[in-house]
Amino acid sequence: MTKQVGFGIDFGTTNSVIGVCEGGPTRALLDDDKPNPSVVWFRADGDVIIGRKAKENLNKYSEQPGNTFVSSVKVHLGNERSFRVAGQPKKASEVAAEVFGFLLRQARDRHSLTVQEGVVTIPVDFHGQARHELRSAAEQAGFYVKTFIHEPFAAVVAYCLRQQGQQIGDLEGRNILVFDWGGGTLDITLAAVRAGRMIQVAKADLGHRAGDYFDDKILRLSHHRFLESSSLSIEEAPITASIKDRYLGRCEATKMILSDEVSADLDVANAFRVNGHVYDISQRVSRDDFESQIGIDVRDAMAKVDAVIEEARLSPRDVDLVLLIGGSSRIPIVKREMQDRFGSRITHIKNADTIIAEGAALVDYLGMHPVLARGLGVRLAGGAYYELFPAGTMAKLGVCEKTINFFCTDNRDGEAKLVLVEKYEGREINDRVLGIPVSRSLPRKYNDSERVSVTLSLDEDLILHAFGKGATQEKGASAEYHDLLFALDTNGVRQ
Amino acid sequence: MNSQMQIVSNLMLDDEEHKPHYKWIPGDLVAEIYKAFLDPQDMHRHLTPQQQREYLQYLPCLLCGRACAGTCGKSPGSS
Repeated sequence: MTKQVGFGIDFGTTNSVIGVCEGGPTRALLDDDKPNPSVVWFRADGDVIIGRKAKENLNKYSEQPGNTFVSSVKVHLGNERSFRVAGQPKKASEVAAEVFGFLLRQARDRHSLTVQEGVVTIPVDFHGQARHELRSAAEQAGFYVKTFIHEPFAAVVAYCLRQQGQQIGDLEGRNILVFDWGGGTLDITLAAVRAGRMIQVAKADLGHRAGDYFDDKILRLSHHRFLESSSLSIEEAPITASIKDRYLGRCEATKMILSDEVSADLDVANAFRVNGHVYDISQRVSRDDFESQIGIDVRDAMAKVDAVIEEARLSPRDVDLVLLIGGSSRIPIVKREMQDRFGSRITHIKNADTIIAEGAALVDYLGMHPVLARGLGVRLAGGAYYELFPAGTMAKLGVCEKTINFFCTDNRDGEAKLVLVEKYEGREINDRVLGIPVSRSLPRKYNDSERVSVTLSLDEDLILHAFGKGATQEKGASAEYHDLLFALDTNGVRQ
Repeated sequence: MNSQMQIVSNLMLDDEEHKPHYKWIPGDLVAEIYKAFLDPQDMHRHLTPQQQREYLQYLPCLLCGRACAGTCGKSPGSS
């Protein structure tokens, strides 16, 4: 079912954007043609400033007492990190709620749009608690998350459905690789268009080795050089929490310049005060310096690209289109490596900064909901696959939900092994094992084998929960899986 | 890297179609529950080929004395 206006939010580590779809071309709500930095400034006077203004004042106020700047709050969601604001702890989800609130106010005040619900994008490896806190942050700000979709997959949606003069049918049979290397994560997704359905075929990530991590590498290189040139020891000129934000901000600016220039200045005024003497940092950083620092990360990223293609049982030449998005994809060594692999199949995207939010807005506008990309079942004793949820099952609470009764065929190690398996194109992949305690007593006859009840359910955050309990046991075992792949069906929706 | 290895499950559906049956139980465990099934004359009637292999897998080899599963050159359990 389509609606009048669809909204999507790309809550990014570095920048955040609202995408809007009103039936025609999608658009993004920008601040002076740029995405909104995900920076929150809790001022000493109690005021809270978010976005570009916060980022611009980071250098000036980050070391002034009473001021707290929080950048990249997304990477802290789900890991119980809190921030000290005016002496009080503030949860990461509360800080994230400030960013959501800012985006919604900006939509209302500058664009006359009331944004109350829509689709929010997440990294491919965003775990359950992180999703839960992201949802909670959105709700604190007054925004209902109808569903999450993976960030690179949102880019596929935007590309497939809204390129000029293009219909989904034009892309039938194509394989699309999205390489999304932003500030917080590298997300790689290989998607295929089959029978009008956009399907995530394989995915990979590289943990938190992304733009912020590269800024930190520049900082360490710069600090090392500073100590060498000043003859100060690390104890005399340490990187304290108060200098770090400002220093990292300059490193990020230097990194961005190095995408276009072969060298860039790195200046930090009043960086250190030692024995009454004030030291500035004023250095020249070359692109070669930077690329040698991140060389291992780029190699690992390319290995992930190869792994994704191998998992899909394809070769690089089977990839028809490559979308490079995220700030770190602009780094020349990254572009070169991708160019070497895919050549002219790398597609230039004009709206690379906003394509994820726009894809999410399209999903909302068209009323699409993720379905399972692969069949999901269990492997039985003897090796047979027993399907519980076929590919294409709506990934919704209450739809993907089943209780199955088993008996344990071999209880000698006191554990029933539930083996969850995905099935795609006839192959069983991604074994996930849940050990469920059972009695070790041998049954007197096979009919006495211990019964084991298993419940599987997919929640609204697209997390699969498994719970199993042996009939003789007081306690069961549970696990959650956040690494399922999804598809979106365009059949029957208005394009 | 693709692998041909699979994790083995020890769960079987407990429903009308499948019902608990000793054919799903590993042969070496069946041997502990139903010793009568182990008569060499009758074993093939009671145990599936897979269960027979599983049962024989853990028998001490009469040649080497270990549960060698025939790797010493003679099948385990053979006289």
